[in-house]
Parts: sequence; C-alpha cells; structure tokens
Amino acid sequence: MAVHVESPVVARVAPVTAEPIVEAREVVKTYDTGQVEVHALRGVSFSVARGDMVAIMGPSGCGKTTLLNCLSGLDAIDAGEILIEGVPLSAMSDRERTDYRARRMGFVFQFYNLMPVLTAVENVELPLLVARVRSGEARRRALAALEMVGLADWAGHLPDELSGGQRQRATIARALVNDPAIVWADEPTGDLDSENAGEIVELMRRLNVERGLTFLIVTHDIGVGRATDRIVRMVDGRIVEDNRMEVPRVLARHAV
Amino acid sequence: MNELFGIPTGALALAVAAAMAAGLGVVGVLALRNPIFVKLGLRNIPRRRGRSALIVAGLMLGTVIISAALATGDTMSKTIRSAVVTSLGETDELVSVRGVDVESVAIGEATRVAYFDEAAYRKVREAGLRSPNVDAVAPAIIETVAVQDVTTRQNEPRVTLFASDPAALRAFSPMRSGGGEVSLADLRPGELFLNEDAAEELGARPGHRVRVLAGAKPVSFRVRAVVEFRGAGTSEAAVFTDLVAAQRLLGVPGKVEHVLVSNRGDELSGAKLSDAVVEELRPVVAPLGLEIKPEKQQGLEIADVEGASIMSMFTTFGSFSIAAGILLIFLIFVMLAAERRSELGIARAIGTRRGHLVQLFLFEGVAYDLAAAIVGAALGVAVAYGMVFAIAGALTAFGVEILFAVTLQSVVLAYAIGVLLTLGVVGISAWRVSRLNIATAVRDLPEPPRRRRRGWIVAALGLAVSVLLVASGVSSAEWLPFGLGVSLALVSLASLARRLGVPDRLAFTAAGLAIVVFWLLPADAFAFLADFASGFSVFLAGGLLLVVGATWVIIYNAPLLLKALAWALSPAKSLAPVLRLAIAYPLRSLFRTGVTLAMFTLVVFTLVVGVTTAGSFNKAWADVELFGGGFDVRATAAPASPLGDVEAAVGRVPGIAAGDVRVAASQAVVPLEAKQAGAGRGFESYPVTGLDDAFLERTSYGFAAIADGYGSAPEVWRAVREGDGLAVVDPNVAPRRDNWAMNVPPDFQLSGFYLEDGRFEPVPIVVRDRRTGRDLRLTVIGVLADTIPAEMWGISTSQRTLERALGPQVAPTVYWLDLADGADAAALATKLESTFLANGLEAQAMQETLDDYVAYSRTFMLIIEAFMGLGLLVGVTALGVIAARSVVERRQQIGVLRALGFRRRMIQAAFLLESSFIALTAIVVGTALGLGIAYNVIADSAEQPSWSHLTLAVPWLSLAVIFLVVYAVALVATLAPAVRASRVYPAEALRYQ
Repeated sequence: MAVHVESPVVARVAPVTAEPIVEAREVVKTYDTGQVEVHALRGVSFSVARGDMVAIMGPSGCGKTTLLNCLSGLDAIDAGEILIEGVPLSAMSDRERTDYRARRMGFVFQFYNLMPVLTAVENVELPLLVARVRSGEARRRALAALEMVGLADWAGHLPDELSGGQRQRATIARALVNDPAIVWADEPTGDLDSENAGEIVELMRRLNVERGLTFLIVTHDIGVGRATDRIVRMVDGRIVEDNRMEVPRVLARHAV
Repeated sequence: MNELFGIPTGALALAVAAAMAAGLGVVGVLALRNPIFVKLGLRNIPRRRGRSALIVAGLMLGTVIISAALATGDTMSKTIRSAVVTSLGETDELVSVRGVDVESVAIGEATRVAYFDEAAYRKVREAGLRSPNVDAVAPAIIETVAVQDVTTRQNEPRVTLFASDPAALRAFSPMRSGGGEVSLADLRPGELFLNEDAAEELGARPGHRVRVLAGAKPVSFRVRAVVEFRGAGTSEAAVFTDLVAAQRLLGVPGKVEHVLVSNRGDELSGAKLSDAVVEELRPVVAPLGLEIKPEKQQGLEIADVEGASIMSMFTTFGSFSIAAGILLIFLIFVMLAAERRSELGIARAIGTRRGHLVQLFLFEGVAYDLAAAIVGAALGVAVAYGMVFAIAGALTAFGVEILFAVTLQSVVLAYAIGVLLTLGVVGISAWRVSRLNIATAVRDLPEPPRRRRRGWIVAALGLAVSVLLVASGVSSAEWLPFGLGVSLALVSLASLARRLGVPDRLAFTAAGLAIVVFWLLPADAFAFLADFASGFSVFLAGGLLLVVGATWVIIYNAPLLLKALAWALSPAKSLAPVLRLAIAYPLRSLFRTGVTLAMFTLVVFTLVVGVTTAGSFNKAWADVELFGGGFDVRATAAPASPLGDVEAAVGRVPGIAAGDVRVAASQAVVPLEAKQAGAGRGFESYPVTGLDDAFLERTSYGFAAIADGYGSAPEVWRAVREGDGLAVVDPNVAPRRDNWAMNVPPDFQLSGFYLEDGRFEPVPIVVRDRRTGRDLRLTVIGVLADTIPAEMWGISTSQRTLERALGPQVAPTVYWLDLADGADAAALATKLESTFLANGLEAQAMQETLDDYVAYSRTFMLIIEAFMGLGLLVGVTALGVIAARSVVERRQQIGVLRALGFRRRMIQAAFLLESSFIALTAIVVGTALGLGIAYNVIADSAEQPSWSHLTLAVPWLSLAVIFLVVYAVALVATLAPAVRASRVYPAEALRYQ
C-alpha cells in the first residue's frame, strides 16, 4: 500500500526529549493457551517521549500489538515495569487505570470499533461522558473534534452510514476528544484503501505537529512508518531496531 | 389465595413489588446518571427485532411458570372459598351442642348431630343481638334427607334439609325466586322450596309433589318454588321448610340443631369479626352445653391453605423448568455479550469502567425484562386456565365444580418475582461479561485463560464450607446440607487438583463423575453416618447437581465423544464434511454448548423421573384389594336414618341372594378431639371411627408401621377387635423422616417415631368428647399403609370400645360389604341405593371408586408432567437463540463454505446435526440419570411396608413419546436459522463484517 506523505529524515539517534510519557522496563508477557506458551514480549525496554510519533513495526506475531496493549494498560504483564507519566501501572487499580484511559489516552483501532447504535457525534462524546463531562460541554467538544477531522457534516450519521475512511476519522476524533496525553493506534490504516489510508496518516501527522499529540502506532505499512518520527522494529518479542529522525517534526515546528 | 408461604399474599405482593421497585429504582438512578449507557443499551433492542422477540420469549418462561402456579392456587382457593360462602351465606359462626365438629364429616358420614331446646337458642339470640358486632341470629336445622320426585320418579338420596325461623332468617342472605324475594313464611303447610341443584337432580318443578324421607315414614310436600339461597349449609342440593315443619318431619318438636350468627358486614368481611364475636358469646353459650365456632373464618382459612398447597405443588414441580429458565437467561446475556465483545472491549479501552458495562447490560436487560414479565404473567394465567380446564374435567366424577380465578395480587406477585429473578440473573451475567480481557475483546479474539490469583483461597474456602455442611448434615440428620457439602468438597478438590497441575479435563471429569455417582447412590448408602431425612428440596438439589456433574463429564470429554461419533458415522462419506463442521463448532464454544446441554438434560431428567415414579406408584396403588381392604362395596347412610343391623338390612334387599354378601360390616364416624398423651400438645379436632367385629375380622388393609409386640397386620386387627382401647391411625398423622407429601397435614399429629422405621412403641392417645367432657384413652398400635383410601382416614378403634366410652351417639352410618366371587358389585350397589332411599343410602363398588381416583390421579399427573414439560420451551428457545447467533457469527464462514462447494442442504444439515448432538446427548444422559433416580426412589419406597409390592415400571411408550417430542422440538428450533444460513449468498457473506 502506497502512502503519499513526505518521507522523514531517518537517523539512529537517542530520543530528544528527556521526559518519557511511557516507559517500559524489561517487560515480559507470555500467553498460556493451555497447549503451548507463547512468549509475546521477552524483556522489552522502551520509552516514548511526549510529543513523539512512534511507529512499531515488524512481522506478524512479533509482539507489536501485545506491546501496545501492555503499555496502554489494556493487558497485564508478567514481569518488568511500565510507567505512565512517571507512575507505575502496577501501582494503579483496575479502576484507576480505567479512569486514566478515560482522561489521558486515546485509541484508534484497525476495525474502527465504533458503537454501531450511536451516531458519529455520540461515539465521539462517549469518553467525555464516561469521564463525567457535562453533556452540553461533551457535545460541543465532540463536534469540535469532528470538525478537526473533517467530519462535522456527518456528525448525526450512524457508523453504518459512513465510509471506512470516515469511520476511522470518527475514531480519531473520539481518540483526541479528551485531549489525551497519548494516542495508541493499532493498524489504523489496515482496513483502508490507499487514498483513505493516506488521509488518515496525514491527519494524525497534522494533529501531532499542530497540537503536539503523542502517537504510538502499530503498523505493517511502511508508508505509515515513514510519516512518524521514530520507527521501532520488533522480532520475536524483542526490539531489534530503534530508528529516529534527527529532529522530530513536532519539536521543529514548535521551535519555529 | 390469601396466604403464600404463610405470609398474606397482599403483604407478600407488596413486599416483592417494593423490592422490584427498589431494584428498578436503583437502575433508574443509574440511568439518570449515565444516559449514554441507556442509549447504548436500548438502541440495541430494535436492531434485530426477531432476536429481541426470542430474548423476550426466553426471559418470560420463569414468570410463566410462577404465574401459572399462582393462578392455579387462586383457582383452588376460590373454588373452596366459593363453596364455603355458598354454603354459609351470611352465617359467620355456628352455635351447636358442644363437641359437634361439622367440618370433619368429609371423611365419612358423621353420627347425627345433637339437638337442643329452643329456649337455649333464645338466650343466645338475646346475647348476640346485644353485641355491636352481630347483626342477625337465627335458629336452624340442617339435616341430610332423601328426596323423591313423585312426578318424575327421580330420587336423590342426599339432599340437605335447611329449616329456620322466617322472621329471624330475614336478616341473612335473601332468598330469591323468579327475580323477586321470597321467604320461608310464604310456605303454606305441606309446601317446601328447592334450590336449583335439587330441582335439577330431581327433575322437579314448582307444583311437583316430592317425598322427603327422613326416617321410617316418608312425608309428602308440594314444591312451591325453586329458589336461590346462600347459607343452607351446603353448596349442593337443598330443600327448605320453616322450622316448625322440619321439627315435625324429624320428630324433634321445640328443638333446634344450630344457631346461625351473622356478623356485621357482608358475606366475606363479617368473618373478620369472628374472633371478637366468639369471645363475646362463649360465656353465654358454654353454660347451655353449647359452643360457638367461627365456621366461615375456618372454612376460608382452609381454602387458602389448600390453594397454597396446590400452588406449592406446581412451583415444586416447575422448579426444574425455572432452573432451566434461569440458565437460559444467563445464556442469552452471555451470548449478547459475545456478539458485542469487540464493542465492549473498545468501550473499556476508552475508559468505560466494568461497572458501566454492567449498567449497560442492566439497562438493556431491564427493558427486555419488563416486557417479558408482562407477557409471562399473562401467558401463565392462560396456561393455568388450560390446566384448570383439564383438572375440572377430571373432578367431574367427584361432583366438584372448579371456578377459575386469578387475583391481582397473584399477577403482581408473578410479575414482580419474574422481574426480580431476571434482574438478578442479568446482573450476574453482566458482571461476568464485564470481566473481559480488553486487548483480546477489541480484536474479537478468544478470551485468554484467566489467572485466578485467589484460586487457592477459593478452593480452600470451599473445602472448609463443605466440611461445615457435611458436619451440619450428619448432626441434624438432614440429607440436603450433607449432599451439598459432599458435592462442594468434590468441586473444591478438583479446583485444588488443577492448582497442583492436574489437567482441567482430568480434574473436572473426576469431579463430575464423583458427583454423579454420589447422587445416584441408594438412599441408605450413608445410613452408617445418620438416618438422613430428605424431601423435595433434596430431589431438586440432587437433580441439578447430577445434571451439572454429567454435563462437566460430557463437555470436558466432548472431543473424544465427537470423535467417536465421527468414527461411527464415517461409513457415510457424504456426511463427512458436514459432520466435521457440526462437531467443530460445539467444541469451539464449550460454555454455551454445556449450558444448553444442561438445560435440555434437566428437562429430560425431570420428565423421566416424573413419568417413571408416578407410573410405578399409580400401578402399585391401583389394586382394588389394597384399596378396598377386602371389601367390594362401600355405602353411607344419612346420619338421621342409619340402617341399624346392616347384615339384616342387606338380607332384606330384593334381588340379593343369600350367598351374595359374604361379610356385611359397619363403621361409625364421630368427630372428636384427640391428642397424644404426654406429648405436650393440645387437643385437635380429628374423626374417630368405630369398626365392628365383622370389619375387623375381614379387613385386609395393610400397615406402614406396626407397634412393638405385634407381628403382622392380621395380628394388629385381631388385637383391636379383641382388646379394649386399641386403635390404628391413618398415615397422615404419623411423623416422617422424609417429607414428600404435598397434601396439607391434619393438626392432630403423633410424635416419637418415624413412619419409615416400620416399628414404633405403642403410642398412648387421649380422645375427648367435648359434649360430655369425657375422655377415652386409646393406644395406637398401627399406622395404616399409604395405599388406603381417604375413606379410612381417622383414628380407628373397635365399635365396642367407642360405644363403651361415648354411648349411643356412635351409631354406624358407613357400611362395607365383601361379596362372593362373581357377584356384581356395581349392580348390588344400585340395588342397595334404591332399597334404602329413605335412609339416604349412597353406595359404590370399590372398583368404581378406585377407577375414579385413578383417572383423577392420572389426569393430575399428566397435568404436572405437562407443566414440567414447559421446560421444553426453555430448551427450544435456547437452541433457537444459539442457532440464530451461530448464523450471524458464521456468516462469513458459510460464505466460504458455499464458495468451496457446500450445497445448501449440507449447510442445513450441519446446523441440524449440531442440535441433534445436544438433543440426543440430553436424551441419553437425562434418561440414564432419571431412571437412576427413579430406581432409587422406588427401591427406597419399596422398603416401606406400605409399598413392599412396589416395583419400577418404566413406561417406555410414554418415554418414547417424550424423546420424540424433545428431539423434534430441537430440530424445529434449529430449522429456521438453518434454512436462513443455507440461503446466505456467498459473495455477500464474504463481504460481511
């Protein structure tokens, strides 16, 4: 799949920001299916700086999605430690993790995962309502988020009435509506044609550059990878490569 | 019904409705706080209307069963209440000679009630009318007479003669005829009124001449009019005269039999003042040798108790269906969650708490729930109507007219219980759903094995609780806690074994098998620990645990079973691809396969146990020798005109040859009070019967328990005949270790032994004649077998003993005839009735009486079985829900299969084979378990002397019908979704997301 975005300048350098928003230390995750044990993460250490846009790439089954799930607190780890904004995930209760997700995280998934019975705007305002934002305010912010992703005219439509690209835009609007510290995206273009995929990547890039949103994107699509500041490659549950462009776009932009 | 589980239905309905309102209130507050989840929940309902309808159908089944049981109870209660009100009218209390118990005459014809002077009546009237609670007092004679219509030549041996003072009676219920009010004062000498029942039975009309036979000489009357009157002392045929005419007819001038007291208020509300009125009038009537009884209040209470008893019978037998219904609700919501797993996963990912997911399902569940409970309550009433219709048909032979009734309280109660039950199950299933793994749910991948960090603690806690339960069961000799404790211990051990690395399959197969074996062990297998008591609750718990155990074994070994099935069907090569699919899917969703299998197995198990045990008992019971106790004809005479020497009387009957009647015996029935000496309980009303020597010599009635010192039934009967003060009692008054009885036990009860032991120390009892205050001390040396007819209920002693203690009031009114071989009992009964019409004699061959009982019993059992069969609807709905869900789930795969060359019929066959696997496994397992339990019940019962002749009679034909119905139902439930699946257009299905 070809993605028409400007290729980043890639170099092997250390992260430029000192303050990591997420940090993984020697994280181990094993799935026990009852028949076999699958070592999905074998001691992964990794961090994401605030304002970074990171792509995690690698072959199927290398542990990319597992890493995303563990870092975002969707799944439990077997060993090691994960810190979110300096706080160990293990110190948080399920409820605290849930509330943290509602307030500080956004998610974008391959198959959109919108609630089929809610309209686009209702889907977008859902995290706000969960976080107990007043309904009027939630609606205003949801409409603004839809505006930002170019979907304001489709606010009252159900997901079934939207195209794949529109659905993914709605998902992105939902992810950013609560002004998150980080957005996790799992194969965000995996179910889109090249044109829509390009638009989605461009949108994420714009949000990263203009609003300083931190993105961690799991993808197979090299086009998506090229649009990010940093590409982390995984094989067999281990990080084998961590490539970063010289100056992340977001910093460059804000420096200007 | 006015009471249910001993709680007034009004209060119970209010409490349950309040609990429902509280539950719904909590849901309502949550809805207001989180309207977005209400939206999410409710908008799912119209998305798939067909499936929503199926869910409503599934959820309502529990309510249907509860509602049907309550409505049947209401009907029975209303029927008895109506008979009480029709028979008593405005009369609330009856003043009679002390010791006269009018209500106990149901067992047999009681000896004639004593009369007293009108002067005593006047004193009572004076005192009564002074009370602000009393609005009328009247004298009455209520006697049984025979009546013959001279014009139509039709006879009626039992008609109630009601007579009173017209002036005093005016304040009671009005007497109506032809739209206007009439009075006994309107009658001219030689005239009487008939009620409609009497007119119908005699074919009588105004102007006809009728003969009233109340003694030796018939008296002729002219029918003045056919009237309606409530309060004649009967709800059946009656004739009415004024008091003086009746006194003359019966030869009791200046005497009355009762004083009728009507309380302030109408026919029903007046009874509420009974306690106060009895309290006020007791000091007045006691010095006159009379006593006052709150007849209506007691009658209404009995009506409610009987209604509640019928209701509890249906809820008990419906329990398995209710349990299956609960499983269905659980399954439905687990499947709903499976369908929306990905949505729920993302909801959790973006910050929705587990509690929010529970709320989301609760909101949707409540909407289904409220609708389902309305439909269920209404449908339950319809089911009850059908059952009542069938019962009414079966009771026609007994002259009972059933009045269908449903109270608002019952409907509210059924609705509220239904709503609460569903709400609870939805809450639990929602909680289970909320524990999903977010990462896998988002991608709709299978749920990873859950790590139970507290598994050790739970297993250890389970073991500790099981030890306590077992200890409690052994110390209290109660099987239920013992059985539950052992089962919990087995489950906890399996859980511990898993922790120690034993594979799940091995651990749960062993635990499941152990549970099955434990509950299938004979009742006395643990007799060395304690003499355990059991009852319906044990049957219910045992049934459920057996099914759970068997389901575990099957589900954990399903791969092996299915491979064996595949191997068995391997010669049919065309089936191979279909079979592979039909096997693969149930294996992939073991939880839902297991729950559905458990539901079906439960239904089959219940039906097999019910049909087999009822069939075996009915077969054993339907033996005229056991039922008749060696006699072929039983006859009863009106108390006012007994036959006297029955042998001589029978000898005078034209057409009966000298050798036709081998033995003519008699029995007196006296309503008295009795208590066990030294047991610390008070006197309770109970009938005492006096059996003459002829009866005691001939009878072959057997015993459930015999006192120490007596070796056999003939020895007991001989002792009663030859000894003084010895008696036997019916089995209803004996204590039992196992409580399987459904009928309401009498207040008079013995203690100190268990019927099941078959032996006991002779029990001293005291029988009191309250009229004279004299006590008769008797010693109970036998408890009659369970197979005796209701006609033998009571305390039975020798006529000699009874006469010596009570004097001439114990004139026999019941007669038993043993006929020579080949004599026609039915024809002889008819001859007896026509010869002794003047005595109001009613006679029936024991075989005919037995046939009526057996027919009624069979109909009743069929109704109970049909009621239990309601559980089949649960199974149908479950399979329907699963099949419908499977079509949605597998749409893409079906498209692939069609693209690969699967024909439509192959797709259909795969779905039908899946259902067949569940239905056929359920039939085999349910039947095996059911027959196992039925064998134990029969073997256990056969150890009792009452049922020593009982054998397991498996009604294969009935079972075959049940199997066919179950299997057909399973296929029908799957057919529509299977056809829908087969019509999936491949290209469209492949695009399906």
